[in-house]
Amino acid sequence: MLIQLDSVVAGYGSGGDILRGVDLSLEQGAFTCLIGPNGAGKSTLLRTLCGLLKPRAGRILFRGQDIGGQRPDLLFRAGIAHVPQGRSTFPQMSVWENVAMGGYSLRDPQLLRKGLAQAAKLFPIVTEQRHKAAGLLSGGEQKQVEIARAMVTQPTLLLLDEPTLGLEPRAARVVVDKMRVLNELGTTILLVEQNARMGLSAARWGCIMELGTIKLQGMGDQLLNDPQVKRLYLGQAAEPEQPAPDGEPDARRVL
Amino acid sequence: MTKDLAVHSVAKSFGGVTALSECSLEVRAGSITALIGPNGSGKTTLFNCVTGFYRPDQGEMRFGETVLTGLRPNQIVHLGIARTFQITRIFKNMTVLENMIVPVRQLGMRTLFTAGIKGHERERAEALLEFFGIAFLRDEMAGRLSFGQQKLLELAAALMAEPTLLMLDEPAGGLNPVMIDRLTGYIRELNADGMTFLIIEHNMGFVMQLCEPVIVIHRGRVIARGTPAAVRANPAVLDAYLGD
Repeated sequence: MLIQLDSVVAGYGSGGDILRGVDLSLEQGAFTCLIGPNGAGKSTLLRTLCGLLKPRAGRILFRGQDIGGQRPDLLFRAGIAHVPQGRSTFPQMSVWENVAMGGYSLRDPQLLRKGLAQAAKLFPIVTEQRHKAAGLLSGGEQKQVEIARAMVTQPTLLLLDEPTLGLEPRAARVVVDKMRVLNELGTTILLVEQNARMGLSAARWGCIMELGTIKLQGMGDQLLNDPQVKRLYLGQAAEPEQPAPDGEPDARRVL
Repeated sequence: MTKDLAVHSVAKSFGGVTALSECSLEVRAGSITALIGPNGSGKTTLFNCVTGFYRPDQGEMRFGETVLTGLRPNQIVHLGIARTFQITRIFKNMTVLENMIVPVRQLGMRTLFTAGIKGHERERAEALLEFFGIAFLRDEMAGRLSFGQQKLLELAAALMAEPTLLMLDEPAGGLNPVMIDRLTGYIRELNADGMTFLIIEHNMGFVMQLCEPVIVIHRGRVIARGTPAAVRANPAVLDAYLGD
């Protein structure tokens, strides 16, 4: 197992527990999508995994070592990268500077060059728009820059929190394709996605989180087709529209 | 009585960047109108112009007979136009219940809560929080809520003002699919009671089953307007936005 969580409990400040005993394991190379109602604890789980939040109880093993409560910078160096929800580019800095920030922790210049080259290869936009201020890019382009930045250290585990939020359909598809490529190249991905249908189709494995625990898990397409999962978690919005009559564009492509 | 919203030849630039140019559109009273288009096409800028957050460089906006151009956001709210934001703007250091009261009290911040939260106001706030499944969080600081819960709170708070025109900026973004269904049903109910909606959204499933007409803007101008099916089949829209 790359990462294993046993009964992890976490919360903020003096507030109540948000994670209430999470059990989850990810194998090396897995692509897992975490879905569930708003407030279930999905983002909190990612923050706990990357060290932004200290678990109150339970154990997090990363390559067999207990990492619960370790500092985020140390976990980042150990290979856990987190791309948070919303925009996190530095808007005034150039695209290239933004991506280079991802290599801040790399002390070996050769490793840094290699990481940057790799990120630029995976995300051509990094080179194409290298001198442009990141804040001037569209939402989808900025998200690509954020993921590229997270890839500079060539992390083992990539934590993505709703990367397609607020993106136009085309840009969302680009981000999904990039995730697939990164996973095929060996990066283990834990994806939080409210667009459950899209997330479960992209990932191989799906977990449903509710009230701070993992309620159910299974193959992505299995969950997509499970009547109970559909009713409780996917809703009508998840149903593909009726196929468009001949000659009209296929509606499913735009969902 | 609800009124039509008419936007005529509105232009807005930021430095050298043109966000809207010659943008004209109409939101008919009683409709659920969608505004779609690529990221950066000017959708949110248009919202900001209509609600008084930006002053357009030129053009005119009317709500019924009333000219909106030049009015301040608070004056526009009192005409019956409420909105939500793409990135939520709630009061993070106030409780969920307090956030609900802000849109309906016209007092200064100091006197905002001295009257207490009770009676009809309280009932309505509780009912809305209940509907959106966040009533159990009523005494939590709003900043403690998850992103999705904050969106639900903002939506509930906007409804407290009982607007005649409600403008929603990406209401489905970040909401779980079951909540999106409930939201769809709720918007339909409110619409049946006469509330007009103008909705910016990228979730095409949501737009296509709920909204009509659909207005598409690209590079600050309207490029198409029509039924969901017509817009989806429009080559200019496919090219600019939906892709192939």
